[in-house]
Amino acid sequence: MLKAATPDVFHAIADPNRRRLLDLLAEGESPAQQLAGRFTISFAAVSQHLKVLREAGLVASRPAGRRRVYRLTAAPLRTVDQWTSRYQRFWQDRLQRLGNYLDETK
Amino acid sequence: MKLELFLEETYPHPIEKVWKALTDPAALAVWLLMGNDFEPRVGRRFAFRATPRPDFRGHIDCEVLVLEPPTRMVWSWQSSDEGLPTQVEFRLTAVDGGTRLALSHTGDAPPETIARVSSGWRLRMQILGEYINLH
Repeated sequence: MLKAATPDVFHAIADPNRRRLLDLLAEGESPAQQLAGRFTISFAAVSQHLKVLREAGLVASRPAGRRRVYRLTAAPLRTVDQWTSRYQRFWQDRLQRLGNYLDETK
Repeated sequence: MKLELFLEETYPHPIEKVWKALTDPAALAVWLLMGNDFEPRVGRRFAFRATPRPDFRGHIDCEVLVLEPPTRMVWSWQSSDEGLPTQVEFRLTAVDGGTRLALSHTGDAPPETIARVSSGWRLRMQILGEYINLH
């Protein structure tokens, strides 16, 4: 029936800094250093967050000289949306059945 | 993003009757899912069983977390081996001419995390959706 999205994606987007990274990358690809400049947390911390996002398949990177340029690969977020819409259909159907059941029961 | 799902429905029936339909295993088998061993007490672990399918292992493991007759019931809900455990909450309110049922199904994160995560996420999903369409 209902298969949840991979925990990695949920975990990845549960953190506000990582969501902000996704927002920034939604504007266009960017080197890690430039991304880190938009945060008060350390470059190492930003790198770590990028690593989590990369492992969840939400960002990809390519080398550009000595730097790495990151870009958004947001397709896995669709799984999150799918997860919800499947449950939505499921519960809408069940709540209607509950209504029918109540109508038919004394 | 939605780790959270909220639905509301009003039924033209008294709250006690709706509560009974939510807490009687025979009634649950009719309107929700077949084959359950639900019992209305906190701490009760129960399962809904169905035929396994490629994307469904065939059972949903649940536990009664909160039971406040006749207004509130919360279950934990785990429908897959690898997925996150989730929570299902039923809230009943007597209204003019019937009962309103508010149902929520949320990911198993602390409420503050869910609130933080969900705020503004719809807009972000749209932005990302547009982004995906463009690429």
